Amino acid sequence: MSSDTLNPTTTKLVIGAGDFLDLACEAWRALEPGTAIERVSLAQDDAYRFDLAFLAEHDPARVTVFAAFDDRFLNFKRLELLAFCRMRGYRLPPCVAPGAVVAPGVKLGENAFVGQGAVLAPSCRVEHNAVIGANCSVGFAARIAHSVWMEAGAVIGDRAEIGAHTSVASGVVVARGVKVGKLCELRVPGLHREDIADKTYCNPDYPDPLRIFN
Amino acid sequence: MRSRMRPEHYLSEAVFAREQELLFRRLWIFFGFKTLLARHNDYLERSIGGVPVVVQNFNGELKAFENVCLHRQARIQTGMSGRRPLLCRYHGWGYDAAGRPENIPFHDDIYRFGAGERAALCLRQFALKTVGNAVFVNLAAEPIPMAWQFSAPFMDSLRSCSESWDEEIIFGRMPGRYNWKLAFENLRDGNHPRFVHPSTLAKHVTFQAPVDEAALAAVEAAAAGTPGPRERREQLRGFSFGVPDAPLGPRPAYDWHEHVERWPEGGDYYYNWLAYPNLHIASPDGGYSFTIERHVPVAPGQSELLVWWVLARKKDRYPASPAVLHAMMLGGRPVLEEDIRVMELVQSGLHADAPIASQGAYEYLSRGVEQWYSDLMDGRFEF
Repeated sequence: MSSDTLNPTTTKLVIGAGDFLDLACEAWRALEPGTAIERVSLAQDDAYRFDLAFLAEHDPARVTVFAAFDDRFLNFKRLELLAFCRMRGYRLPPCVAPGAVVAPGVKLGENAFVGQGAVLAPSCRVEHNAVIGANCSVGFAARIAHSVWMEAGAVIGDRAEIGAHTSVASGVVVARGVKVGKLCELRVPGLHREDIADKTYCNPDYPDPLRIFN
Repeated sequence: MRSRMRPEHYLSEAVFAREQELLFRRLWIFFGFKTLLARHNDYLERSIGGVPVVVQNFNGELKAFENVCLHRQARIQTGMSGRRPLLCRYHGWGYDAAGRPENIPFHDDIYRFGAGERAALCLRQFALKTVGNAVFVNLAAEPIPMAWQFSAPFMDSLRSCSESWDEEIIFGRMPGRYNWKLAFENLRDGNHPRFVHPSTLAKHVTFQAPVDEAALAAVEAAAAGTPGPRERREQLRGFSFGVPDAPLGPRPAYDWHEHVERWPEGGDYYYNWLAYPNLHIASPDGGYSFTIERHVPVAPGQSELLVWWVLARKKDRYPASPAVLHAMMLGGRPVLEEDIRVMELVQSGLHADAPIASQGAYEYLSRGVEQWYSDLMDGRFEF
């Protein structure tokens, strides 16, 4: 773990790793110039566990957290960070990067992220821990369930649904009304016009989707 | 030592057709998992030896039939697995547990089969046996006893490990441009990992290529003599085995280990099971997880690797178990890609006058299989 400065009055810990950690720090610095944004780069041990002992040094009443970890382990690692912080009483407000367009009335869950240039149409729903990458488009009345990961530029049509823990890659377009199950991956660019069952993995390295049964 | 395998064994359409007939339509072939057939109307469908086969649960009883409707020959079940009655989508013929069309819509108006003709309609049924969680099918009209093909210790080991498998399974398919036999030759070759997998598998596990002098002498003695039917059966049984293949070094204890019942016989070894002709099972972590691979012949120079990963049976609900299976599948892919690339390298070098392989003493297992195989292909014996 490495950390920058710490402001004892108003502080946000942005914890995670990789590009998303940097993106989230940039977004929070632009959104809250008066807040000390502490970037906390998390390492994992050889069993992929985080060392989160440092959280005990902070006061949840004075510090908020944002968990900025990518979609590894089907987005469970980011959820693990969120759950750990929540259990210790930290608040994890959502982050809407400058330049994103969020229609009035759209509700964003805890630790949700909306990247620069993304557009969220009216009546859509983005649940906790969902990450909408830069320049993504989420259509009218679409539902993005918790712990979803959308890479930059992914497009979700009107009234489409993306199930929990699903990852959607750049170049993917989910057509209007299509239901994508939970725990899926859509990594093959192109238009997806049919519903996709839970635990289905469209991966360009395989000729047809991987599936988990039972 | 020169191999008994000739280039035509990997290139010839005629040899391929003969293999389909003499091996895949006569031997017990791994078909799938009982846990995917647990409920009424659960089915699995795939081809064996070029024949579409469906295994379906009828009120708890598993039956194997030719997956071709008796009316217009459409495949009845599709999509590899699912849950629906044995009902053809083309004209709605529905079949019962005996394979008879119990429902032919509009029969009396437009088909008008006579009583005798209708009574004769029945799907071709195949023999089916389960060993633990593993389902095997045999297409022969008079199947050989399973004990001719697999030894009792092998079946005990397969039963034991497969009964420890969880019901949640990930599946994927990897096509390749190589003959199916190269896969098993590669799997029997303990000398290849250090060269083919130096930065993946061999980085973590040290496989040996031992020379079993007694086994080598037995193979060469059999090659010099004329084995009878009993010896042929014993040879065949010897092609399938399960072993603790290589010791495992220190490794992390992952969180998910606490949520599964490790295979009780699992020690700190990399385990391999090879079941002739085309099933390979491995547990790379001493019984916490298993990969099951079926190498399907598609054409002389084309195969399909069907890959499943399964964890040991879960003790409790573990929401992230799909992420573990997903990680296993993608994490294991580089090793399989390396194998496929090297098999394609071999296949691409073969031509009618290609040099015959020169084998070392450590390749006695493959030499035994080759001797049996080439004698069968050349018509020196039948089973």
